Amino acid sequence: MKFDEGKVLLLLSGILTGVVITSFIFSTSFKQTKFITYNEYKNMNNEVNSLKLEIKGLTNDYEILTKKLRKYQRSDNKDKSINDTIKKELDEVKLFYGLTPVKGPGIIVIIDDRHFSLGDNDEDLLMRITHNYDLLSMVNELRNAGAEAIAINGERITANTAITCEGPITMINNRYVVPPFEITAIGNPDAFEYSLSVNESYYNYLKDMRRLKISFKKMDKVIIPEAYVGTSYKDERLK
Amino acid sequence: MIPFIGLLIGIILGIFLKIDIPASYTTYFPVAILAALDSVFGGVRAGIENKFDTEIFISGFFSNIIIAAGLTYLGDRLGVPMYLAAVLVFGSRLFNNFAIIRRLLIEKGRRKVKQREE
Repeated sequence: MKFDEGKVLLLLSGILTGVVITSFIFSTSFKQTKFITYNEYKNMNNEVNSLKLEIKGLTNDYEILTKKLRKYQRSDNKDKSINDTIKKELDEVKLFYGLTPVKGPGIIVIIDDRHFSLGDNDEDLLMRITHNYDLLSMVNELRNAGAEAIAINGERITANTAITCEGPITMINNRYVVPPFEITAIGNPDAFEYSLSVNESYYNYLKDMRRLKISFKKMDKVIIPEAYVGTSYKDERLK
Repeated sequence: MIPFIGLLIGIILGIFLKIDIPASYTTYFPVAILAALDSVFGGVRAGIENKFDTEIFISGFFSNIIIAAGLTYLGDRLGVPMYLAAVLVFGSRLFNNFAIIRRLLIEKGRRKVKQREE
């Protein structure tokens, strides 16, 4: 048979029409044509018109409600993201202020008084005990070495912490602490080790000049408790 | 004959393929089908008259379908049953084409009979 472009096109259009016809017949339900009188037609037409109006109204309502819903969802999302951000910020602030216990790699420095020996004069006496400013200087030194959190005998050092001398005893955060003092700090252990072991460090001053019992231990994991927030802490004068 | 064969193949294919037509297009498809049928029979007639032109046939096939569906849509929009125009025109043309095809076929048959007699 000779190949004829026109015949092929005719065949294809025939196939297309056949497919459309059959798929249309299959996808729509068969309803026989019904003959109605003019009055019936009028009534039904009225019904159709009222139903169409109803549909129009309902579609309008639907659109308005959908718009509203979308608006609510959008503002809800916004509120949620703001809440989340604020919560995250609060957590961060708590973390850095010291209101949450933290853990991480760090160092433990243990300082103890030198024990009493015969023949010590007053100056020696002062030299061999650990003073509040010793602890303050150690805290400063650790901070300089990049400490992110510090505690002495479980007392978290925060921005509001006072380390004071109360005669025979030291007070941190309005609570008494006694030797041996265990200073825990979180940070880079190697940095701590370096800054403590340089000759000019306060650590070496305590060790060599004051000859206190002082040692440090690098730790893979130290746990630092949250700060004690006593009833004395008030913010009523802060503005 | 070819379009009829095509139609048959298409119908059988349609039975097996079962293509789903969205319910929202049910008003447009009958008119489009009418237009397509009209084009097909117009093609048959032109083929018998030996006046068949591929370009005219194809452009007519698709533009008829598109205009028929478009008119129906416009009618829906305007609230005027415009699809009636398409139904009327394509319907009458279908009958026309059928009549002409019938006449042409009968004449052809008579000629053949005459030739045999001679």
